[in-house]
Amino acid sequence: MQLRKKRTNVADVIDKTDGNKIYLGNDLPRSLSVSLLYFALGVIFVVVVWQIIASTYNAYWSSILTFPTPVEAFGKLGEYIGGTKFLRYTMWEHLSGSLLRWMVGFTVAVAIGLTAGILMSTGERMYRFGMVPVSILQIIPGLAWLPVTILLFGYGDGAAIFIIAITVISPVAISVSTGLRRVPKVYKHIAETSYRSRLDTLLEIRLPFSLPDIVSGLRIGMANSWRMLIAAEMVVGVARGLGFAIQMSTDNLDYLSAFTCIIIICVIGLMLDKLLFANLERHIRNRMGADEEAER
Amino acid sequence: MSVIEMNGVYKSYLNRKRDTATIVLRNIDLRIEENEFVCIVGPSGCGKTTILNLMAGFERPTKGSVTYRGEEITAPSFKRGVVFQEYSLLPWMDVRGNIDFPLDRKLSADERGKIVDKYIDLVGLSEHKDQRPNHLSGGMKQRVAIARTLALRPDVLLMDEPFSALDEQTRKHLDQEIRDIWTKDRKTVVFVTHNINEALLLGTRIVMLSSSPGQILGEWRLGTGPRDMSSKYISDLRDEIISKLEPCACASAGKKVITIE
Ligand SMILES: Nc1ncnc2c1ncn2[C@@H]1O[C@H](COP(=O)(O)OP(=O)(O)OP(=O)(O)O)[C@@H](O)[C@H]1O
Ligand SMILES: [Mg+2]
Repeated sequence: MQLRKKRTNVADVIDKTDGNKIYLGNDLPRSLSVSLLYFALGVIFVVVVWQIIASTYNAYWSSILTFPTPVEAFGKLGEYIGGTKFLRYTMWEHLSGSLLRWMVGFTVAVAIGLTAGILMSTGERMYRFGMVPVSILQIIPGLAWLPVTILLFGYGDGAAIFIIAITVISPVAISVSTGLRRVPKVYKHIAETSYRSRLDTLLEIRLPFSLPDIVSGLRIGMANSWRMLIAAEMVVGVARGLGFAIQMSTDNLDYLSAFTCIIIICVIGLMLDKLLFANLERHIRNRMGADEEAER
Repeated sequence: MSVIEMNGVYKSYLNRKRDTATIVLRNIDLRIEENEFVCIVGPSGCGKTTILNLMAGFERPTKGSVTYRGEEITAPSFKRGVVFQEYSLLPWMDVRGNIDFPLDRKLSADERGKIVDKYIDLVGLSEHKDQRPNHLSGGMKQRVAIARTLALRPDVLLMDEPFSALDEQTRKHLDQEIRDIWTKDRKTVVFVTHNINEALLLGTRIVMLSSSPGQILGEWRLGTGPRDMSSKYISDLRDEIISKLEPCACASAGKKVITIE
């Protein structure tokens, strides 16, 4: 497998070129192929450690239970992806149940966090005041909200969504207000000497300027909530979803199925983080100009 | 009636601990009349930007009054356009977007587009209208900033050392452009600079500030016509201004500070 074509070396041709542009060809950037390589090595390492633990366990530890090996788990995963049901649903249905809950919780939380962050950016007093509830929210671990959410929503979807949402509000509110407070005075002055309203200014200057901060906050929120989602599903009594599936399979001593769910959780979480948010972050940083400093 | 009038204006800033106030401007009386091009000169830190901020309405005087056509200035307005000392373009918008942002949305996108193009032409950047600020040189950025402010057709133009970050060559070129634009449509301009040659080239009046705290040291009127920068009249005037400036610049080492109980 060759990830990298040979690129034209600028120094070799620079004195032989007319005009002032040199076309180098558009191959896979070096940094991408290198990071893919590291990613593959890292995954292999994890799988090897897993295999060692499984073989050791199965050989010396317990004679009744078996620790699923990577080969067995991935085999079973293939079966489930193919459509075999377990715990009354297919893997896709468990996954979509979880994702739906996550999206509802995440969206509600982002709306609340965004509003709170904007309010907190309206003045020093609002910021100091707002940071108190935000810090309180932030310091309470998600599952500690169990009594609150059960009281409010009873067992089921509502309770899970609440726990997901509550872990996202703080990072979003903090990042939004931080970003908005960093907007240089001169941009504020430009808006004030223009024909545009405060809302226009918020939407077209202040929020776009804050986007890098906001996306970092969303990324933290997404990681928090993805972890909380699984935990919440294990305790608040839902009948479908990855967390529920792990819980039930474990109770049924069907460790193999539980392991396939863990693999799915890991893959989807990595995809959301590394593909969606990391790219979004990079895109926005480029867009803001690698020249934030130059713009002061 | 003057366009802008400052009467007995004092400005002070509290320090961080809020137990000391530093006086930045002391008893400024200044009238800006219709169609004047007033250059404010003075050493760095003497309060030139502060004066402009008061005129724009970004800040309020600690004591005294600042009025615009007879009315107390309480907030900024598009009638008093500002070109800022630092680079102020929005990095994620191209040149057109930057000039378009402040414009009135009562105008259709088409009308705005025409205005934007007209002012891009005026500052000679037609070839760069789709570029982002980080692809422009410092001089180009300031031209865009000027176009952005002019496109609002402000009644008064407040310019805060728009070219001080540029090299001598570019600065001279842009000074000439400003001069041409002003000759064409005679706006009222307040132009801050610490470059006396720039003031001599552009101003119909030069106002000099002393530093710490800023006070008006002297004023010179120059008439509205083009001027020969190498003439004896101009060079004598330059010498006179510089001689006024020097002793005070040295004498002002200690800042005037008052302590609040
Ligand atoms: N927001 C502020 N808080 C405290 N002090 C301030 C503030 N703004 C300005 N100053 C002080 O007021 C004085 C005058 O500042 P100003 O920016 O008006 O100077 P300037 O004449 O424009 O200088 P320069 O030529 O360097 O731009 C300076 O000593 C500065 O430290
Ligand atoms: Mg200044």
